[in-house]
Amino acid sequence: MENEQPFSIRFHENDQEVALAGSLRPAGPEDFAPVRAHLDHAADAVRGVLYLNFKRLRYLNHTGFVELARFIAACAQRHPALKLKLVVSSVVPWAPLRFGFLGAQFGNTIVEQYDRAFYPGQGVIENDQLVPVLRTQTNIVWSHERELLRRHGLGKRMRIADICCGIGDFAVLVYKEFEPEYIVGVDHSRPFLQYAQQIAREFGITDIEYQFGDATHLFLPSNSFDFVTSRLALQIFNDPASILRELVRICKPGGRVYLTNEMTAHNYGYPRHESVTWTYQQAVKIAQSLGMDMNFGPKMFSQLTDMGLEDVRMEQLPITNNNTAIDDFARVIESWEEYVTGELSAATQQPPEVVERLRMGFRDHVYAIRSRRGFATWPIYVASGRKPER
Amino acid sequence: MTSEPAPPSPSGPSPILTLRISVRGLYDSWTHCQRLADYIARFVASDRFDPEQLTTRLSTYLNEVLEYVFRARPGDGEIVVEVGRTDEHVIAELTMPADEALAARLRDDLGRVSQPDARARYEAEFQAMLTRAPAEAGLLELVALHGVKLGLREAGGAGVIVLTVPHE
Ligand SMILES: C[S@@+](CC[C@H](N)C(=O)[O-])C[C@H]1O[C@@H](n2cnc3c(N)ncnc32)[C@H](O)[C@@H]1O
Repeated sequence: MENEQPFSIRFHENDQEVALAGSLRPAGPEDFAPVRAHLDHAADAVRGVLYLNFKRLRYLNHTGFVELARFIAACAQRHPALKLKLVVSSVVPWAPLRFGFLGAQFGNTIVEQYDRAFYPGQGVIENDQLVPVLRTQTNIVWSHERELLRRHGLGKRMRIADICCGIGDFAVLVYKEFEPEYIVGVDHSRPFLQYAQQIAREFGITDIEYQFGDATHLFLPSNSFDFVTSRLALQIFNDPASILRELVRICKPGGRVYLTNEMTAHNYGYPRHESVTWTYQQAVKIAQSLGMDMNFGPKMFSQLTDMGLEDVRMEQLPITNNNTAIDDFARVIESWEEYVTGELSAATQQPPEVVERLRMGFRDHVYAIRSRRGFATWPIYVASGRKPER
Repeated sequence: MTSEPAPPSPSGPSPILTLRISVRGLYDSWTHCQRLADYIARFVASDRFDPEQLTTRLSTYLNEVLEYVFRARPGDGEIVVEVGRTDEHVIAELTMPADEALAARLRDDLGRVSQPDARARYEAEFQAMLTRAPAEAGLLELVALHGVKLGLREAGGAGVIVLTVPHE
């Protein structure tokens, strides 16, 4: 897809930061001079640390690279006390290589690969322990979501972006059901994307594009999608608004942004409801200690409204053991049990007795799902809003 | 001289695209280098998994080679870019008219770049590049930092730069 961004450079004096974006491919020093002037001005204006933000710089030729190195060398002379912090993202494949090299060359320069640990829950999310959870969830969610998506404006032959696409199964289902003109999934987990690729290959699907990317700094062009989705993702990211802003940016005016998120504290099972409720409340606290808000669901209405979206629609996916395949529902809870008592408890060093009690609650939830007299729910909130026409 | 790496598959790469441009046309504007690099990269990467990442890498590398050619100023004639693919690599061949002087220069520059110690050389020469960067500095960086292979072939009045890029 067309995706060219012109070069831009901005100095944010408040943050002591210069942000470079787009494509920087000067023919020589004269061509680079305006950029150099910007950088010199910033270096003169700040004290302590000057941040050079390269997160959105997609292209840099070697001439530009050498010119940046010249600037760094000049800084060491002119401002011996000034440190330069180069902030780079692994989403730009050449960036860690080149800037890592620069960091090793100059004593005044530190390189920070910002997306190595950019949100507190990253370590427990971006690994393949979560794959069975995502897989089983989609199995039962899709049967409800499929119809509901139409009510939120998804139609055939649209341009669709699924941001934080996980293992890509939703994109595959949407692809089959809605025959999009174009669909792209973006995620920051390489294991998930590998999984997505494998599935697409097995199903003989070649028309879904997957991208390694950061939802808070997408390289997708502005105003270019009819329908932008982000499912079960804002709740695990510590700064959901920064993802939401990007979703709105890439959405066409008149297009819709569609979100789903949970209200984990309201997961319910009867009988043995006390045990079930304790476990989910505990799980919410554990997740909170990793910067996640697993009760984000009901807050979406305000978030979408605050973001200036119109015609905000919100409802609940009514997943219960009354309207959902019992075995599939039970498998979802079992995958949570595995993940929360394993990965999540280990990462947050839960004492054994807490882990045991957590486990009991999940098992009691499964009991309620399977029991002839039992009733169990997993409420997921769905919200969407329209981007205003300019 | 041929310092080009042996083709990874015995049958050679399967062709994807061939593009011809006049040398004069390229000289019209410096920005032609990046336009061409972006276009070719996007075309070649389009049916791959994560085409954006591959586009970014290919465009970065092709642009560096095109800028080198732009500065090397071959005589009148055509530049031909041929791109093909094997299971593991994208292989781009850039053919340009080369008189004796240019051929000698290509031999020199590409010879210096495609040595096994490229990384050590790049590190050793980097500070000096800040005063004056030699013409092949950008090519050396491709080999030294980015794991790309560069080679040269000569064929009847033409020089062929061969760029071998791993898919991932
Ligand atoms: C709970 S999973 C949900 C995945 C998928 N949407 C689904 O419903 O199955 C959350 C996903 O968000 C991704 N994610 C979180 N923060 C991200 C960011 N800043 N950029 C890209 N992906 C991100 C994680 O890698 C993970 O795949």
